[in-house]
This record gives sequence, C-alpha cells and structure tokens, in this order.
Amino acid sequence: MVAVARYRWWLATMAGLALFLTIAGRVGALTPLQSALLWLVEPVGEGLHAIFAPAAAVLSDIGELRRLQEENRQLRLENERLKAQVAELRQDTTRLQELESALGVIPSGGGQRLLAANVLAHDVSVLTHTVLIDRGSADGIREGMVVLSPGGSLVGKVIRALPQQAFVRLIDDSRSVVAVRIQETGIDGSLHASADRQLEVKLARGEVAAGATVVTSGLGGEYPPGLPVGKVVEVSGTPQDMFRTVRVEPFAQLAAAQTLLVLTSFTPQALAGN
Amino acid sequence: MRAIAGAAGILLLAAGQGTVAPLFPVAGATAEFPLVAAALVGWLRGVRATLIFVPAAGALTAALAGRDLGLYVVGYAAVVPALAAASEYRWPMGRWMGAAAALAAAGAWFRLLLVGAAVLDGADIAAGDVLRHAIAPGALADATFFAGAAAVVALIRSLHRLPLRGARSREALRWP
Repeated sequence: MVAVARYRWWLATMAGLALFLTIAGRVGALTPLQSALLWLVEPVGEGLHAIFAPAAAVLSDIGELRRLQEENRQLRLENERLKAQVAELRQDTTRLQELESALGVIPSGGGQRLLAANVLAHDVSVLTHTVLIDRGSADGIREGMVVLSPGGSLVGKVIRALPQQAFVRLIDDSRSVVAVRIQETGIDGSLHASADRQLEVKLARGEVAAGATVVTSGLGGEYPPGLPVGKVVEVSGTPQDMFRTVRVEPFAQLAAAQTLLVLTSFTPQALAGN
Repeated sequence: MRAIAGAAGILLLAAGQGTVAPLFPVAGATAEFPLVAAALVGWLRGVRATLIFVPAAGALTAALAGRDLGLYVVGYAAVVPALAAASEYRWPMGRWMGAAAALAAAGAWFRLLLVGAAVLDGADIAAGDVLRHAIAPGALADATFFAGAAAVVALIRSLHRLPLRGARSREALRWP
C-alpha cells in the first residue's frame, strides 16, 4: 500500500475539488460554462454519432435478425389491424361531427402545441436515463414540461433547461414516477422503472391482462391525461396479492430516440404554481 | 502541443460517452469510456500520467451529461489509487491485468456512487439488485472495451516490432 499512500495528497485535492464543483453546480455558477461546453461539443457529438451509429445498427441487427423478422411479421399484422381501426374511427369522427353540429354542441379545443427537438446525447448510467436536446429556455422550454415521441407517446419530462439546450429525464429512469391508468379497465397505478430499466406499473388492486394499454391518468397534474405510455407485456402474481408486478413495454423507442416533441401547451401543476 | 492533443482527446472521450457509448451496450450496461481510457493510460504510461486526465475527464463528462461534477470527479478518482495498488503486484499475464483489475475496482466504486446519488434523488433499488443490475453489467461493459482497446494496442506494438521484408531500417517501421 506504499504506492497508494504516495497519492494521498492528490486524493485530498480531488475531494476538495469535488466539493467545490458540487457547491458551484448547486448555486448555478457553472451554468454559463456548461452551456458554452455543450455548444462547443454539439458538432463533435453529432459527428461521432454519425460515424458510429451505422456500425452499431449492423451489430445490433446481426444479433437480433430472427427476432426482427418475427417482429416485422407481427408489425405487418398490427399495421393491417390499425389501418382498419383508423378507417372505422374516421367514420365515427365524421358521424360525431354531424351529431354535434345537429345538437349545437361546441367541441373543446384540443389542439396541442409541440416543439420538435433533436437528441444530442444520451446519459445511460446506472438507474438513470436522461437525454440532452437542442432546445432550451430561449425556445420557451421550461423545467417540468412533458416530452413525447414523434408518435405522440410519453417519453419523459424536462428536468433542466439551459438557454440553448435542455436535459430530459426519460420514463425508464428509476427516479421517474408517472401516474398511469389501464385504459381498458380504468384502474389507476404508478409507473416506475426497475434497476434494469424495465417499466413496471404498481397497482394496488384490480384485474389487468397482458396486451392492455397504459396511458397517463393525469393524477397529480404532472402529465396530461390520456397520453399513451405502453402496452402490458407480463403480469405476475394473483389478484389476491397486495402488489402485482405488471411489466410494460413503452410505445416510444426510448434507447434510440433521436427526435422528440416538447408539449409546450400543457402546463404541469408545478409550473402553473410559479 | 501534447497538452492540446490531450485536451482534445478528453473532449472526444466525454462527447463519446454521451453519443457513442449508448450505441454499444454490453449486457444492458454502458461502458464508461473515460474510466476505460484512464486504465489504458495507467497501463501504458504509468499512474502519474492519469493524475490530470482523471479529474478533467470526470468534470467534462459530468458537465456534458448534466450531472453533478463533484460526483464524477470523486467517482473517477478511484482509478488512481486502484492503479497504484495494482502496480505493487506482479500479475500473471502482464501489467495489463493489473490495469484491468484497477478498472473493475474503480468502475464498481463509481457505479456505487451513482446508485447512492440516484437513491437520494428518489430511485428505488433493492440491495441485491445493485450488484446484479448495476455493478456486474457495468464491469462487463468496461472489461469488453478495455480488452478490445488492449488488443488493438498489443497489435500495434507487435506490428511496430515486426521486421518487415524490404524495410531498410527500424525507423521505417515506425508508425507515422
């Protein structure tokens, strides 16, 4: 241990430096420096991603060829089903509009304002998953705003907004908690991520089956109600169990997210209070 | 000139941690490129060469990931005493084994710190899952990239020493 003792002074310096950096970070003294660094590194990161992403895609595809073929077949079937459903829904919407107009009902304005953002980097550390996007407070992004995938399903929320960039905590981050509802049965629960970033819904009671759709419930005011989150893939335990494990597969591709939409028209309760 | 190259290298590593590392997960975990690089530097150039590299890489990586800079500096700093301790032993397959062991120890310390920080921030994890889902996959990811980089270094070294047919002198074999 003689060699280790030789670096005692260095370790003490590092402890002091770490303390200084932590305090400076907490009081926001490092924010301008961080913004400048992110601006400087943005093109480097994009270049690195452009170089390595094709290689990663090839490696990933080789290992999962069989699974991808099966998934492709399933998706084709699902696509067909969904097309039929869309046609049915279009018909229903037209009929609803006709009925509303006949009864003189004024429909509520459900227009969402969304701001598209590119993902600059992923931070996939232990228990955590955050992404850096290229929109910040200068674009109207505020902490707490809800972030969606291009398909409109829930991805996460903004946890820190810098002038030109913002950090988004994804729903598979273990620190995220989302109030959700099983769409088919109306049972409420809360969505958490396990240590291996699998999504799980904690339900205190009620029936749920694999294949059910999970949407946000809107309880707590952090997320608007009805945002699609994912599909139940596995339910373990019996209805008599105090808590059952309900595994959920997110609709959004969280690990491969490249473009995100920030929902600027919804004000979370935490923001509305400010 | 060497300082500029070093700074550029650290910047690339920190940028790569957010953009390249997540593209190549191993057992579901992401390797810590700066830690792997620190172990490589320690192996090839000695422990002293990592003294500036480690805090700079830690602070820069944390800044780009939006994390606590102090946490990363303390987390990465463990690789220095680990490399120093490893240097005291004679390893069966050479010094690179010592660097790999130091990387495993430092990686475990760093990930334990991250788990602690996440738990303080509201994450829920069972004690048994820390090893299974945090430390073991991370160590495997680090080891995979370290082994890959060590293999490349060994290949370059062997090519460097290999007398090529037709080469006039040893100087001609040097890499540009």
